[in-house]
Amino acid sequence: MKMKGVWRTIESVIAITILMSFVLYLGNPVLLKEQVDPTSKGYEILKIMDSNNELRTFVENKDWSSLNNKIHMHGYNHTVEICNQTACYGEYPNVENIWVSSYIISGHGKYEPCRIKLYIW
Amino acid sequence: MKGQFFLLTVFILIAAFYIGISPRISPPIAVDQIPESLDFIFDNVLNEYPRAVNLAMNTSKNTVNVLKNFSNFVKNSTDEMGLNFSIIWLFVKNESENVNITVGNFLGYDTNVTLNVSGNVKHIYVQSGVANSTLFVSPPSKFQLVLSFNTTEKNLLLEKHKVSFYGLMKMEKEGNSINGEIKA
Repeated sequence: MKMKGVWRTIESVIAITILMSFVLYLGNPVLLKEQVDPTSKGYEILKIMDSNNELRTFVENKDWSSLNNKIHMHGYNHTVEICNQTACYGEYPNVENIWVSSYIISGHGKYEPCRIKLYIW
Repeated sequence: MKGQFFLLTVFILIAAFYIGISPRISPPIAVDQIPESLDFIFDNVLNEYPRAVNLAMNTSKNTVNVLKNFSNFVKNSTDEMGLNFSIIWLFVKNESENVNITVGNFLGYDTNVTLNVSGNVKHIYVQSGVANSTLFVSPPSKFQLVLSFNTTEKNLLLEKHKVSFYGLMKMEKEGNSINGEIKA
């Protein structure tokens, strides 16, 4: 019987601790989903394709579909745009939270500067 | 048993509160497009300029116009990416026994440039976005070129009968900056 008050006190402390933890948790900005930046991976893919002499032919022919099919990123969706000085060829995704990896080239066989945009989500 | 019921009630209330309110308090998904990395683009442009020079020389009658066009293209592209790009470049080409040096200014501001070719000094005023040329008469086969503008000075050793390109490039974003030299 003498211990009743002690146990109730301990229980109150535990309850207050739980409530305070909850309040502190709410007070801190929390990311529901960990944001991992895949742009470095996207850039590496484009750079390797350029080193292997694959990229510029697609760009010269504005063949964004074949270029997109050539790219594989596990766990992500992606699409590609090829933009020269006057127009863009490809797909811009209609989603939120897009990462963009860009790669600039001056041309292939002839001077025609283009920017390749790899959209990742 | 009162304490146990008390704790149980607290747990249930917390769970109900969290389940009920958490969708409203979740942080919004931050941005539509997440800005690109500075170092990747810098590496890309640094390596692409020599290719642009080669393409310009092999496929165009006016190399300087192509280099100006490419510089503007890079500037516009990096502006879209939220990067601050600037470059000043030299295109050096012989005309018989003389040497023509073109300075391309894409620093974002007008600048005075001093060129010293083995002791022969010339001062050129180059507006932003413009390329100006000057001719040095009969320099040695191998000559020292000193480029000076603002507080920057660079020394280059060049050959008269070899076309050369030199660039000083900078990219900045959110307080971070990278500088680099291009030699071709």
